[in-house]
Amino acid sequence: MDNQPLSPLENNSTKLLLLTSNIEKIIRGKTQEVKFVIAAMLARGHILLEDNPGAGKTVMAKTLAQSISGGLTEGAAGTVSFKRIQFTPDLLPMDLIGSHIFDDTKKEFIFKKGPLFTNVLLADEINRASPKVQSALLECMAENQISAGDKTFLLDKLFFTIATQNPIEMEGTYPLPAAQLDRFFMKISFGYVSEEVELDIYNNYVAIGDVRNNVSQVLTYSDIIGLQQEAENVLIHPELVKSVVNIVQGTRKNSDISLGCSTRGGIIFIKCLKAWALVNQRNFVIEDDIRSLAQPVLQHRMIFRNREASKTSLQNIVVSELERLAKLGIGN
Amino acid sequence: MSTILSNRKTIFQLLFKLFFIVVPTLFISYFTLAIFNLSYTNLDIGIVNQAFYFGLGLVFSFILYFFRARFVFTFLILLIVYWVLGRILAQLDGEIDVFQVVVKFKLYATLFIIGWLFGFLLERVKFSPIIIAAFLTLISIVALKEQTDFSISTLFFSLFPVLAYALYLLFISPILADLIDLDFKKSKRVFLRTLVFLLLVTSAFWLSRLFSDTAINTNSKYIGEKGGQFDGGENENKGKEKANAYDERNGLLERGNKLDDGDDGYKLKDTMKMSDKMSQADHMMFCAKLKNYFPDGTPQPLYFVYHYLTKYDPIKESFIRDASMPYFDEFNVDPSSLAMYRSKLDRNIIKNCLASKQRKYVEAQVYVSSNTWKHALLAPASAYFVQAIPVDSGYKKLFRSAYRVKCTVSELNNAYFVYNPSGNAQLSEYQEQRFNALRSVIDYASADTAVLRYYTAIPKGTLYDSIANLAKRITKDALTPIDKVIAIRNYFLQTDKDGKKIFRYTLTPGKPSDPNIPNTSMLYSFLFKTHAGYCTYFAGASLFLLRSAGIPSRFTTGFATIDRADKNKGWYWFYASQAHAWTQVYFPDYGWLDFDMTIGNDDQREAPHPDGTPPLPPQEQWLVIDGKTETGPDLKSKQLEIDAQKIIFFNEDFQLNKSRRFKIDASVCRVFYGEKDTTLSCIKSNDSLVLVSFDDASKKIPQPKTEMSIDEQVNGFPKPIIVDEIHIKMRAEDVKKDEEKKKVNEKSLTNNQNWQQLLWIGVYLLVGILIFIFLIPFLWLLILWLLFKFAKNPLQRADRAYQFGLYNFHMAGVERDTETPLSYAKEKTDPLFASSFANFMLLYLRLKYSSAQLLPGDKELISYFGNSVIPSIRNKIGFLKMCLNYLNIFRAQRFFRKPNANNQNEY
Repeated sequence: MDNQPLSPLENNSTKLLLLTSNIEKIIRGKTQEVKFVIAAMLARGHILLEDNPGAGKTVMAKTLAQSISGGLTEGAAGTVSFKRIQFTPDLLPMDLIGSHIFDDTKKEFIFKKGPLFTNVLLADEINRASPKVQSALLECMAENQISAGDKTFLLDKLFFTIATQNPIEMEGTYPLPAAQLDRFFMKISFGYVSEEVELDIYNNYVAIGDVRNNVSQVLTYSDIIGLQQEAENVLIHPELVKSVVNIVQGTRKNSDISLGCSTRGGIIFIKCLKAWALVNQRNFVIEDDIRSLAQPVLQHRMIFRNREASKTSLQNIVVSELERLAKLGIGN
Repeated sequence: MSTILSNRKTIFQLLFKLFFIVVPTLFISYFTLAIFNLSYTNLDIGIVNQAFYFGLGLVFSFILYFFRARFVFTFLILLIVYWVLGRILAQLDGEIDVFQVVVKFKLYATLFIIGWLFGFLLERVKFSPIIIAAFLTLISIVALKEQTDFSISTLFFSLFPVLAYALYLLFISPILADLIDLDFKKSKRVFLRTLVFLLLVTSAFWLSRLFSDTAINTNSKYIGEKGGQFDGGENENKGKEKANAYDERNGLLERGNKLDDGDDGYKLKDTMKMSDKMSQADHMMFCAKLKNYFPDGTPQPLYFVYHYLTKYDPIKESFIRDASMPYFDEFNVDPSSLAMYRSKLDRNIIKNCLASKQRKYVEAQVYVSSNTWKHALLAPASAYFVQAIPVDSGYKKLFRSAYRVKCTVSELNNAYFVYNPSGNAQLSEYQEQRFNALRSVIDYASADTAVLRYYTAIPKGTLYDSIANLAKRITKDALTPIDKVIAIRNYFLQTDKDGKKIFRYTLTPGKPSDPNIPNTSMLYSFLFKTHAGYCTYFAGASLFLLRSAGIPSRFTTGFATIDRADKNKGWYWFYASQAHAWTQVYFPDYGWLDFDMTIGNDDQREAPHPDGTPPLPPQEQWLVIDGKTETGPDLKSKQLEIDAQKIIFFNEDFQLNKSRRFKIDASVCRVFYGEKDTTLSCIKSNDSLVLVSFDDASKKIPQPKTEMSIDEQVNGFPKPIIVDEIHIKMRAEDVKKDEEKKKVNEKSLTNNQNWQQLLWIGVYLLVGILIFIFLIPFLWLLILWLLFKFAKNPLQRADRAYQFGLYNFHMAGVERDTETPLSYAKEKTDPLFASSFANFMLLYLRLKYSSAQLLPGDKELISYFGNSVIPSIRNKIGFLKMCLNYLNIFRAQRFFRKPNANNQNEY
């Protein structure tokens, strides 16, 4: 095994294992969520973490950025660039995008790039900023480019936003409209860790702190670009695509859901499924992937009639679809 | 499109429910109705009709309420309709037929409404099986209470089907609810399964036919239990006294073997043997009204004769019939062969009685019990006339037929020879008178020598010599034959020095055991050693003593008549234990007189047999006309005309010189066709009719005049003649139909047993369905295993191993619920059973969703997994528990059910 060149799948698996385990040194007991974040990145998407403060959102984003070398290197450490914007109600779009300033020497306006020009962006507490700012960010996320004045600036190939938001119920927030939520590939919640993990965190606080300060760079920028490419090549069986269609259609027909899933949602779902399969060391999608991803990928795209429906209706659709798949034999 | 689909789905559901719920309910209700009818025979309407109306109500209401009709409203309409119909019927005025229609209407209405309520309960009420079963049980118990023979086994046999039904419904309803919830898309599969199920049920039906022998046995036993007092006697008193069980070999009775009409019954044996013990049955054989009274009106019983056994086989020591006896005076007639009101007369018997002095004519009516052989004529001695008479419909269960006999009887004859008059002055006086009268017979010089020779013959042998000696000793002081008879009788009654009787009555005389006497004879043993025996012994011994003394006598079998109560004067009840043998003694000019030498049984008091209710005697008819109607009846005036040549006028058959036309008033009569009640309108032109007019004080009835010819007397008949009964003779086409029916019946079973067999088949079916349902999980396991074993290629095998694994782990108690198979394998089964399910699932999913390319080692893994499923489960929970798990059909049906995602809220 040492002598033989690794097969592409094994190669990728190793890389992803390295990445996840690296992050997990710091983010403990959250394997699934770490994988979600990575999968969202590999699917060339963005992720929204909805959580209470102190659950490790920022650390997550930072560690991810620190684990990858190359890219828009800025720091001395040679990692991909990582920017963090704390969203506040008085934040302006210019604070994100950047602004034209007058260059004394050249006698012209030059564009001073804002924090959006980065590889990994942490948009903290996104729902505290005004809708104007939110939409500016979301546009960039969708188009992967910034228009400022008469010029259009392309963002880097690796542009991954981790937005966080406080739960809607908290005061002083501008809830994101559904149309904007739709642009996030996933919306997940870290939640609190279990008792044992929490104990482990406290016991190893110093050690964790040390690691945090010098996270090892396990992957390169090009590795990530390669993995993103790889994720697109993951095999998805026609029956599974059909299931995605059934689920998406099901959400539109369901009487408990007032706004069903969009076609874009379906495309994103398939992209995520592929990336998720890759994260789980597979080059093909299986029914379990649908089960794991339906909630984080689809839930936030829909508007439910009531709280009860929001808990069950999507799941009912997915479960009945999974039963259909479970009954299929090989070759069907 | 979707509405059509849902409509079809609804109809599918309805059919399902009808088949699985309504049909068993109908069946069980039919059974309860049958029990009810056993006790309340006065319903008098075919059980099939009753069940039909009940079923109509049930099915109709079930369908109505299935389609969500409002109960209060619909039920109200039903009640109103019935009320209105009832009012309309009440407005009708008419005769008996209208009354019957009203009664029938009320009964059917009640049944229909009960069926209606049942249908509602079944469709709408959750715990309807319990309510219905409780109701049916109650009805059964109420009905069974009427039965005299109320034993635990009766209770069990009657209530078991109802309880099984309740169990079945409780069991089937959740499964059914689940089946019906299936998508319509899958209904095809369900339909196929139903077909398979029906096939299995049919095969179960045929299987049950294989066991039908046992079933019939159970049936006859069942009838026996139900039969109560008119029981077949087979299992009579089994519980109470085992020793008393009737053993045909040792009794006086045997089963008649004339099976041409499908029913048999007990009769006396044609030969009587002295055996070591006698068995007595205890059921009622027949009852009779005997119009024989003393001048003051006290009933004067007479023994009922069956046969004279005039031949003797000294080797077997048994008495046999002899058709060549001189002056044959046995009335040889099968009363059941006579058509209604038809009679048979044999005047030779009056001649052959060889009696002229002190004769009288006695009439009797005999009602033959349902379990008595109906082909035998039982009547007091020297019957010469017999006429078939009807049994009132209320007694048809108890008595299968009846006949009237006329006998020529000596005024000196009665059953009181042995009976102790016990202070009854009149009886003592009568006996004295009788003896005095008979003392006028001094010897047999005047008697016919043929009679004398035949009836005093004794076999040769030392035994008979010693009997002759004994007879000489006993009768040495007696001069006249009657004194000799009395002496012999007194010999049997004598006591020893201590005042103890020497002869004793016993049913178990035992075998003569004296080893010193070679060729031991029962007769010898009885007369000279044990002095113990039953009637055959007393009759046989006295016969030879009488004959030794030169007195002509003969051995007679029949029934002892016991006058038990004065409640129903002249009515006598004959039980099997009254089967008897005695001697008849011949006196010139007086004929044959019954002399019963059997002494009373001191050890056993007379069994307290109930004196039953006598059947309503049929009214005496004065006229029976047998003829043809040309025009049919006039329904308005209720009159008809009949051409007849044959009439029975005061019990005498007459043939008219020429056919006469009688005018008939049929306004008050009942009409019968075959066995069935019908109405006047059923009479068609050219029907052959038998008309009966009763001897009724309200009618003007011409009295028979011996001096006039019958044709002249007919002229004096009233016009029109008021008749009470019209029997339509079976029309040719119906006779044909009847014969065909009989043929069919011969092939299957007798009518009587049909419904019971149906019932038992139904019960077997229910049990079979239950067992089958419990076996479904096993069968499914077997099918999956075979599919796995005989898969064509590795891919198919992987598929089947997947199904097999899922099913087995499910049945082992670990249910998948809404989880995906892979996570189920990883998180549930593998940790518990240490199975390789997760590895297999990874492989399987790869084959399924990636490329169906087998990698090296895949084949082995598939086979290994498939084969290791059961061992891994067995190792964990043990073989027995594993097998028990497969009986859990509720779990099995959850396997096929769509999981309910609502149970799991969060991942």
